[in-house]
Amino acid sequence: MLSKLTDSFRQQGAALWLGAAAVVVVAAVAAPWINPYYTRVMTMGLLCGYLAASWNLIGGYAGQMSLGHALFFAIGSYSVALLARLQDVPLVAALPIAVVLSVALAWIIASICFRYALRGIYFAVGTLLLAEIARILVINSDTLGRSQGLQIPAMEGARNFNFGSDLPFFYIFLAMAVALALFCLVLERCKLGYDLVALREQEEGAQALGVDTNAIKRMSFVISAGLTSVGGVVYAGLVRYVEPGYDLSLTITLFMVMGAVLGGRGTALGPFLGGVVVVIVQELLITVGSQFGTTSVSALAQMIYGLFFVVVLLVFPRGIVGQLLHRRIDRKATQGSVGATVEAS
Amino acid sequence: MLLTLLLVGVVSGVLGGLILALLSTGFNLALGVSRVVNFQHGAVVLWAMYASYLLWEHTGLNPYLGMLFIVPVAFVIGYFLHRWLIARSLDTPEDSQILFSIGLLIAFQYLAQFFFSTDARSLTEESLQHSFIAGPIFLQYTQIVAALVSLVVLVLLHLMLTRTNLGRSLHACAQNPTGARVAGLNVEHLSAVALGIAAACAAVSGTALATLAPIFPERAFEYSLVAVVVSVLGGMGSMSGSILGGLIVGIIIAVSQVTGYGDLAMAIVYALVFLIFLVRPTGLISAIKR
Repeated sequence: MLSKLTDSFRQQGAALWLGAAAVVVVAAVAAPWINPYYTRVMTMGLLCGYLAASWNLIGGYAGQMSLGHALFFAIGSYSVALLARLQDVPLVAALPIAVVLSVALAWIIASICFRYALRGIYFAVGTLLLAEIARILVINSDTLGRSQGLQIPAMEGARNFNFGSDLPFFYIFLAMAVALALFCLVLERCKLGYDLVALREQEEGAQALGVDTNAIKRMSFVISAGLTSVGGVVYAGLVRYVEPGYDLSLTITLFMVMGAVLGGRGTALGPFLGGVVVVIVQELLITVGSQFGTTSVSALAQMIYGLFFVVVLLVFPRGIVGQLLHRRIDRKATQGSVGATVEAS
Repeated sequence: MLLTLLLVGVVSGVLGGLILALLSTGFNLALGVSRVVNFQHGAVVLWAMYASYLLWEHTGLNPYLGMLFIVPVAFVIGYFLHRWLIARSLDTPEDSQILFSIGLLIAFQYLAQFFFSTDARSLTEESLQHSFIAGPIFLQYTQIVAALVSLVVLVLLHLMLTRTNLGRSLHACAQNPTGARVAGLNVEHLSAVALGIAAACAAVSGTALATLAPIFPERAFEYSLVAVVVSVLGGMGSMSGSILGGLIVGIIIAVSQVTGYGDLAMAIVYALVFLIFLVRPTGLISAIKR
C-alpha cells in the first residue's frame, strides 16, 4: 500500500514537473513574438518567482519565517549601484561581491539567531528588525543616496547589463528560475532536504534523530540569502534605480513571502507559480484601476493586494501546489493506512 | 549642559513613553488573551488619527472630546474584526497568522492612502498650543495632555483587569483557554472583547499621537512595529511589561532627539530589542519580577 502511494506521489510530482517544463519551453519560444508589455510582466513574474523560491529555502523547507530578506535583496541591488560609480569596473562584477557580502552577513545573522534559538514569531520579528535597522542606516547615509536612492547610469555592453532591449532579462530570469527549480528538486532528494523536512515537522524530533538543526537552518539561510542577492543584482541591472523605500522595504520581502505562501511553502515548484500569479494579480489590479481613472489607483491596488493575501491564507493555507499534492494524498490516506499522512509531509 | 539635555530628554521621554505604553498594552492584551499577533494594530492607530483629525477639521471639536466618539466605534470594529475574520486565522499555524495580520495592515494602510493620499496632515488644536517652561525644561501642552490621558486610560485599564469580573475572565482566558471554557466562559466572545479593548487603546493613543505628530499612511507600519517592539522589550502578555517597555523606548527616542541623533533613534531601539530577543525573549519585566 505504502509503496503504491509513493509511486502515485512520484507520478503526481512528475506530471507537475512535466507541465512546468512545457510552460517554460512555450514561454521561451513565444517571448520574442508577444507584446513587450507582456514580456515585461512575465519578466517581473519570473523575478518574483525566483525570489519567492529563494525565500522558500529558509521560510518553506526549513520552516523559519524570515521577514528580513529585503536586506539581502538590497545588498544585491546596492552593490550594482555603488559599482556603477567606479569607472572601468563592469557591473557584472557586482554579482560575486553581492553574493560574498550577503553570504557572510547571513552566516553571522544565522549563527547568532539560531545559537540563541530564535524561532517562530521571534525569528520573524528579529529579522524584520534587522532589515529596518539597515533601512534607517541607508536613509541616513549620503553615500547610499538617503531616501531618494541611487540612479544607475546606462553603460555600454552586456557586461554592464545593457542588452539594447529588455528581452534578454526575460531569458536571464527564466534561466535563473529553471536552475533554482532544479536545485530544489535535487535538494528534496538529498540528505539536507530530508533533514529539513524533519526539522520543519518537529525540531526536537529531528535533533533526537541526530540532525544538527542549527547547522542546517544556517545552511539554508545562507543559501537563501546568496540566491536572493543574485536576484537583487539582476533586478538593479534591469530597472537601473535603487531606493530604500522599495529595495529595503517590507514590501519586497512580502513579495517573496506572498509568492511562496500562495504557491506552497516547502514545495519546489509552488513559489514560481505563486510569484507569477502575484505579479499578474498586481498588474491586473493596476490595469483595471487605471480604466476607472482614479488618481490613487496604486493605493487601491495595494489595498486589494493586502486583502488577497488575507484570503489566500484562509482559503489555501498550504498554497496552490501544496494543496494539489496534499489533496491527492489525503484521498489516498482515507482509503489506506496511517502511513499515508507520514508520507504526505 | 549635557545633564540638562538628558533631563529634558528623560522628562519628555517619559511623557511620550506613556503613549507608547498604552499603544502596546492593547497589542499585548490581544496577544495574551486571544493569542493573536495583531500586526494590524498600527493601522487602527492610523485610522484613529485620521478620524480625530477629520472630526476636528470639520466640527472644530477638541480631539479629546472627539475621542469619546472614536473609542466606542474602535471597540466595535475590533470586536467584529476578530469575530468575523481574525478568529478564522487562528486555525492556521502561528507564522501564517502573522502574515494574515500583516495582510490586514497593508489593506487598512492603503485604504487610508486611497482616501487621504500620502500628504501629511497636522492637527493643531488652538487650546493646546501653549507650552510649559520650568528652568531648562520646555514642554508643550499637547505632550502633557496626551501623556495624562494615556496614564488615566492605563490606570482604568489596570483597574478593569484586576477588579472586575470581565478582567478576571480575561485573565482566565489568557492563562488557560481550555480551563476557562470548562469553567463556563465564552472564550470566543472574550477573545473578541480583548481585540475590541486593543482597538480602543489604539484609538486613544491614535488621538493622542494625532495632536503630536503629522499624520500620513506609512505611520501604520511604524506604529505596528513599535507596538511589537515595546511589548517584546517589556515582556509579551504583561501590562507592566508594556509600561516599562514604553517608558524605555520613549526615553531612548527623546534622548537621542535632544542629543541630535533623532534620525537614528529607532535604529537604536530596534538594535536593543534584537539583543533582548537573544538574551531574554521573555522581556525585561521577568528579570525584575524574579
